[in-house]
Amino acid sequence: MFFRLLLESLFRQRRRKLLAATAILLGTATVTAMLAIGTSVGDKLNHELSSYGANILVTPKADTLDVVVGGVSIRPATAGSYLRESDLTKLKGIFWRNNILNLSPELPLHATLTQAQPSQPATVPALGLWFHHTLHYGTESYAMGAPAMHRWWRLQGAWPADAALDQAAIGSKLAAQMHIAPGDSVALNGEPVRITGIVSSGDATDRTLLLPLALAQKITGQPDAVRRVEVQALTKPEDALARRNPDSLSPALHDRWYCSPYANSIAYQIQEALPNAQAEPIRRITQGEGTILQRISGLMWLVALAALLAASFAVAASMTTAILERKQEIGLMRAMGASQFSVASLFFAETALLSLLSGALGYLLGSLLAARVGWEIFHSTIAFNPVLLPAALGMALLVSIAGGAPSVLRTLGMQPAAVLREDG
Amino acid sequence: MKRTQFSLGFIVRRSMVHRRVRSLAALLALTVSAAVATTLLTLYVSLNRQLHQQFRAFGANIVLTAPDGSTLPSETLATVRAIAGSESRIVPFAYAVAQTADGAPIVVAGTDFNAARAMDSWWQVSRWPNAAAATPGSPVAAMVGTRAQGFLHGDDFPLTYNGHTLALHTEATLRTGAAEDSRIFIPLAAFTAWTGQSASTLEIQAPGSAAQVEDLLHRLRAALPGVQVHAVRQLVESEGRIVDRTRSLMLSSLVLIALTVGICVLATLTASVLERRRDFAIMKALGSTQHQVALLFLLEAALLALAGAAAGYLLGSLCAFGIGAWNFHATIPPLWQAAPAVLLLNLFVALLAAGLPMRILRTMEPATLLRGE
Amino acid sequence: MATILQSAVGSEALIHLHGLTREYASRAGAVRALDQVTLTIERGEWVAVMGPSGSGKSTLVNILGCLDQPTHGSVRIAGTDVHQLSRQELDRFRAETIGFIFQQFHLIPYLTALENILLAQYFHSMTDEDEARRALASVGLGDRATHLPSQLSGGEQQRVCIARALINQPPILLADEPTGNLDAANQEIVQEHLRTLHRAGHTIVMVTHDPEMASLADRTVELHHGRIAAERRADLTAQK
Repeated sequence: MFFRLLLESLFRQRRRKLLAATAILLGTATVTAMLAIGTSVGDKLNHELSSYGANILVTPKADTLDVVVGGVSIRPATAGSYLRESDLTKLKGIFWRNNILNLSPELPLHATLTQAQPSQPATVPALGLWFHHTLHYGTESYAMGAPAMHRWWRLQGAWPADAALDQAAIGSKLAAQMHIAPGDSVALNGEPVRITGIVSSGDATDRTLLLPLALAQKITGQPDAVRRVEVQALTKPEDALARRNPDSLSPALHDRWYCSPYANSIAYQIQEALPNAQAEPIRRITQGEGTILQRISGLMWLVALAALLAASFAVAASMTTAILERKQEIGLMRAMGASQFSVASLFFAETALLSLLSGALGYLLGSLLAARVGWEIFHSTIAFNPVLLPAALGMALLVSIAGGAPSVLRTLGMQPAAVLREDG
Repeated sequence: MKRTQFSLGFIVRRSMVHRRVRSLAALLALTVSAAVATTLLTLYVSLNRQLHQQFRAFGANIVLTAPDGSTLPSETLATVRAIAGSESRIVPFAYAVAQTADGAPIVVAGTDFNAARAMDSWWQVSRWPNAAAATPGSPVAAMVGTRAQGFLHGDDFPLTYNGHTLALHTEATLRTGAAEDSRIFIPLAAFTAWTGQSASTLEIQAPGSAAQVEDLLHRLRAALPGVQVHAVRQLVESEGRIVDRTRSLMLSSLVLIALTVGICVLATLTASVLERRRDFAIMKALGSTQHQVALLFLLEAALLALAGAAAGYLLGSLCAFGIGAWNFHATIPPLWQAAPAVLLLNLFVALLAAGLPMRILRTMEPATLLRGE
Repeated sequence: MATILQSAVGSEALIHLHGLTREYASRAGAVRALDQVTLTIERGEWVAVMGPSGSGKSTLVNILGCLDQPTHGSVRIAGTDVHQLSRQELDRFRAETIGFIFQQFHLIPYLTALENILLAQYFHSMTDEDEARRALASVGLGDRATHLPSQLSGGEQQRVCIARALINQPPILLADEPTGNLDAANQEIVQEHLRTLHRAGHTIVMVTHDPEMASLADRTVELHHGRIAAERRADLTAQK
């Protein structure tokens, strides 16, 4: 009988239920959407932050001191030690391999550039790079290289092919100085090279010749050698644990440190994977990224919290009104001999059922909204988060019952006759 | 004949007091809507500034360098400071390649430690040297990059530049993960006294959007011919994009939340007014005009909207202030422009909520209402 | 108002209904609540409308009170064709001409007894608290002025309703089951009030299903399925 009453009550008087249902639906939709955005904004931002380029730099351990001012090596790099290009595959074997988005090995050198028209040969700084290199690890392959690492580089023309030993790109200032245009042929240390593109970067690269790594290795006579590797990794902002020295940590803490994607721990793992390498987080980038990540995620969380509060109050207000409308009904049931308990159970069960139904719909709507917003803003969708379903339903249940309870209980506390007489 | 203060206002007051639970629910809803609108508007308006402030963590976005091998004229710093304004941070750098005792080349940089500390927050320094505390005759306090440290022997070491030898003492170590790790930093005054060279580079951290930075760039170039001025494109471009996306995100949230709360408030108020259709019918039976009843309902809605807007504005400003203090470590002052906007928004929602049922009631015959349901 | 009443003064009957039909749309098609009702009521007359539930009694009263519009037919009250009036004129006309007494009393729940009467004055012209107090006293509720409807008994509420209906001295009093919700003692009190009003010359149209109430009236009109089934004068009983 109870359930029959419940169902009857739920589907009768639909206009009155509509207010409560709409409020709960919209409330849960907003809360779901905001929480979905709040939880995923860190992830989305982290990908956005990858436009800052490398955040970890890998260099040979035993090394001479760099004598670099303003991005330009004052003294030509002499012998010194090198990393092995063939070892780079190992970086895709570390614990946080999926967080490593890009690798860009570099081999600086000086070369003699001669234009096609007879002119004075000039010694220019050059850099061997990957452009669109495919790194194979196991059965998977990854596209990596300098252009993706330096997204602020502008290219006029095309990048050289990684395997080509007769192609190069040139920095814009150097090109202007030597009157070189894309498609021109020049001689590099006597060998013919075609300039495929002109790169503008706004930094020292503008004065540099960019060569495929293989060509640079051939010119220097150092096969498989790279001087340093720029690594771009998704990292977690530095916290108290990240700042600790890993060697001084207890085994349990050390495991936690090792298994957190801090820039430090990723660098540590890179060092483990590459012999004779020293990996250092580039603090300017990691610290800056950390600040931005924390502030913006924090902002979105606070806004989500505000949305939760606002939606709760709005839904509670709607529920109060919706239940007050049905005061007569409560009075009538009581007059017909229903106990306070059974009337309260009926109302709360009905409210619960209504809020679960509307809440579930609201969750769907909110998830769709979040996905849509994610797509519009970050060009990547925000996935349905099943964890949010119980949260959304819980919020709907709690708020609607909390909103309805005062009216129900107050009405139940009154004499049924008084309720009926108050009519309205 | 005795006349009493019987007016629409009186009826409204009695009605609101009598139906206090409903009035409170409606007031709560209107307060929440106003508070949310105020919070989000205030946040949104100051968001640009707050976000750009956060991007200062990345350091200099403009670099000014003297042509190869030369140094900047001595008045450059003052000129730049005047153009860039007090909001910008400026750090001078001078570079020289000196020899260690072993004859190994090493880059020595002269800088203003206090300025560098303010701008380069990512520098991990064991203890910032106090340049002012230097006493003449004692070794110069140096900040040594972690990499450079391996090429020196001990904390006290000499460096030779152009035949002049300088005694230095390692006051602090520096780690950045970049080129700074291979350098030794000393106060600019000591550097000039030793090498005879002044600053060759100014790093400038100018707050603001890409357009503002671009504008500053042009003004600097115009004022300082012969000096190379360029933006750190890596920073400026990323910053603009991230700020834009965050703003879009905030805007979407703002619209979403405002819409939800607005509709909830609308529904609540509409129900509250519809519920009183019997009052409406009785008054019609007593000979009231359409206008009088409409005015009665609208007056009540407007009063609630006004009270809700006032309370909501205060609450919302407080909330925005809290978010600013907690998240951005900055003061977000109340936005007075939000007050009229929120009031209008609330009035609009409330009057719409009262007006919609009036339209429904107008089409209903009072007789139908009086017969009861 | 004076103009309306003055124009009504003449040989014409106070209320004249002709060919009155009222249909309601419902899911099962149109329901005819009133079907070609023609009725004339003279000034000072007390007419009781009787009939089983659903016979159209309340509809008739509501149309008389200008709360409802007939689908067909004409309503002339005090010489005015109600159909010709604009919405605003109708509101005015109602305030001037008609006083309502409802079965469910229909007092505004948040106004006291006195204020409910003041409300009627307010919509009519201006409030006069002394007059309103006198009206309350005349229905024996002088000491109940500051009570809310919920603090009054049914009979008391109905008396407030009567006082409210009379406060603007309307020429016509419409009562829809005025004693339907009252006990015997209160019914007696209300009957006495109506009798007094009738003696004072008020025109009363009263819907009831209580033969005892109907016996007080000058004339009884019986409705069946929206038509006038019988009409009889109760001159003999009215004499007593």
